[in-house]
This record gives sequence, structure tokens and C-alpha cells, in this order.
Amino acid sequence: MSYIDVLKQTQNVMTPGSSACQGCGGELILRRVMQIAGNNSVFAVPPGCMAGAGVDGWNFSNGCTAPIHITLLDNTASFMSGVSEMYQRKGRPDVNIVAIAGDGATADCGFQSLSGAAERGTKMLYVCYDNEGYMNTGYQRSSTTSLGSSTSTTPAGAAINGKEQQQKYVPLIMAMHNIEYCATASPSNMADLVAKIQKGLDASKRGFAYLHVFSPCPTGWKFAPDQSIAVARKAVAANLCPIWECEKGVFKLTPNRKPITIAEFVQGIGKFKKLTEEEIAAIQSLVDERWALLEKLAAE
Amino acid sequence: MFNPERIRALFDRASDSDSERWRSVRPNMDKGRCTDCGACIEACPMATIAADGAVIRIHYEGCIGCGICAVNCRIHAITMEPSPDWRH
Repeated sequence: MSYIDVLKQTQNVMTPGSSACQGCGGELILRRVMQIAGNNSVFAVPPGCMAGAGVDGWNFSNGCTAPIHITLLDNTASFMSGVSEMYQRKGRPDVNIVAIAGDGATADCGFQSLSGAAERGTKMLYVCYDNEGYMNTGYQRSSTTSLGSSTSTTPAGAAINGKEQQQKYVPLIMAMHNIEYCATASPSNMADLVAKIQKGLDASKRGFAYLHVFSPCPTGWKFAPDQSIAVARKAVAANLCPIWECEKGVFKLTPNRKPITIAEFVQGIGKFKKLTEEEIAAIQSLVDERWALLEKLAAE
Repeated sequence: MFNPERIRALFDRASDSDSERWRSVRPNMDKGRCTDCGACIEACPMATIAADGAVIRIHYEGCIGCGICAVNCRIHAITMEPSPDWRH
């Protein structure tokens, strides 16, 4: 069955409509993960856009049709470790244990509990939708925010020109935990995303699975809402979001057939409006080095 | 102080502001051109586009008019038109 048939025939776990912003990438990823996981699942969503707007539903008229926990920002993975352990002991390994968190709850606040759960090999799938900031509270910088991004805590102005540090690359850190399955994906390549969610759910029955999904945010990044998928596609082409997977230490890198430069990627995205030539060159060198590293890892 | 009437009024006000009232544009699918390929289903963040058997249809109840479906339709069968229910 092709992925389109899967999407056509599978029931949505979240009923249509929500109060998320127009063109939300996080909402699309949340719905896709929930749809593939199905109703025989327990979900956890820490505070963030998807807890505030995504799973709450809109106007009391819709919502999530599967059990869902709104955890704390920093304990999603440890919370779900307990839930997973309970289901294993009850003799219900068929239940999908899925956490869906933003980059703040993954890379910053929740990182120690995530790293702990990964090291213990907890049977669960952890999905991070990476929109490069704390969007729910008005786009504060996070550790995955790109260099030079104008955020509400690092506004581009006379004192600083956006975020001064490069982003932290979480998926490789997670792969180095020797987990069962680790992958990156983008909503612009839905066939790949659906296949990776299915693989991740399958791997979550044996151990810890981690999925890092690039999630464009029109409101925070300041671009037109209908361009969300196009921005995600450009990020993949610019190698800002390289698509790869790692199964038990074996890397597989999806080739980038039509690469573009970072200078082309940042066109039309408001948060990068004041990027200098040096900053563009610095991001370019970061993504080039990352790509070279991934190529080496995949070649072995 | 707890006032059931006041809380009821808040609920009524909330239910009066559904997405049809605040989206300014909405997608219109030209079924004469549409090939039911499913590109709009995979792109819609609100899951308001669904397959009714083999035929794909837009359900306007949850649509917030973002326009992703129109941009991602490969044969340009979806156009954004002014929403008739828009309340300024």
C-alpha cells in the first residue's frame, strides 16, 4: 500500500481543525504521527504549541480521540518511561508509547530525561518537531535556533545581529546513544516521513526510537503561511535538514540531488532578513561540515 | 464568585467564533481538473481534506484558509477564494 493510500484510508486520531496558526508545520507532523500510530496508543505532549493549540482542539468541538498526557516541559521522556514500563508489565506491548515534543522540550529543558530514557532503551517513540525556537510563548531562542535568527530574545538590532551561536544538532547526539532507531525527516517528503514513523513505531517495540522532524513556523520565522512545505523543501535541498536514518548504528543518508546554497534558502524568510555575508558563510560551512560527517558515517 | 450565567455567556461567545467566521479565504477544488492524487491530503495541516471513497473532498468545518493545499496542488486544481462567512 502506498503512503497516499495509507493517508486516505487511515482514520485521523485528532479530529479536523485546531487553533494552531495558519500553515503550521508542527500541526501537520503531530497529525501524521498520531494518524500512523492509531488509537491503540498513549501520547505525551509537553507544553508548547502542540499542547496549547494542537491537541486541545478548537472551540470544544474537536480534539484527540486517544489517551494523551500533557507532561511537564522537562519530564516527557521520563514520564513516558513509566507509562511504557507499566504497559510492558501489564502484558500490553502492543500499545504504542509515543511522545511528541518541540525542540525546546527536546534539546534544552527535556534533554536530560530524553538522554536517560534513550540510554535505558525504554520502549517508546520520541518525535521532535524542530521549529527552532519556543514558538508558543512568542519565539524565544532555543539551542536548535540557527545562527543569525532574529528572535524575541535575540532581536537583530544595534547590539546584536540575531542569535550569536550556531545550532545544536540533536539527532546525531541521539544516534550516538546507540538507540534502536534514529532518523531525521521533513514534511516536504511525506513518503519518507510516513515510512520513518512506521519504522520508528516498529522499533519502539524493541527499544528507544527517535525521530527528528524539521517543522517550519510561518508565524515565528515570518514567511507566508502557504509556503510552509516549500520552505521545508528548501531546507532539505540546502542541507540544513539532511535526511538520514540510523538503525542500530548503521547510517543511511538520503542523497541530495539538487543542492542549493544557504543564501538561496534564507531568501524570503523574515527571521534571516538581516543576515550578514559572514553569517551566511558560517551557516554554509556548518551544514557542509555536517554533510561531510554524515557521508563518512553512512559510508562505513 | 461563581456565576453560572456568566460562564454560560462565555461559552456562547466562544462557540460563536468558529473558523468559518475568521478565515478570510478558503480553498475551492475544481473537481473537473482534480485527479484525486492526494497531494492536498498529505499537505493539509488541519486534516480538513479527506478521501470520501476514491473522491477527495474539502470539509470546511476545520479549514483555517492557510492555502497550503493550493500551493502544493501539482495541477493547480485548487484556488483560494474569498470566504463567504468571513466576519471582519
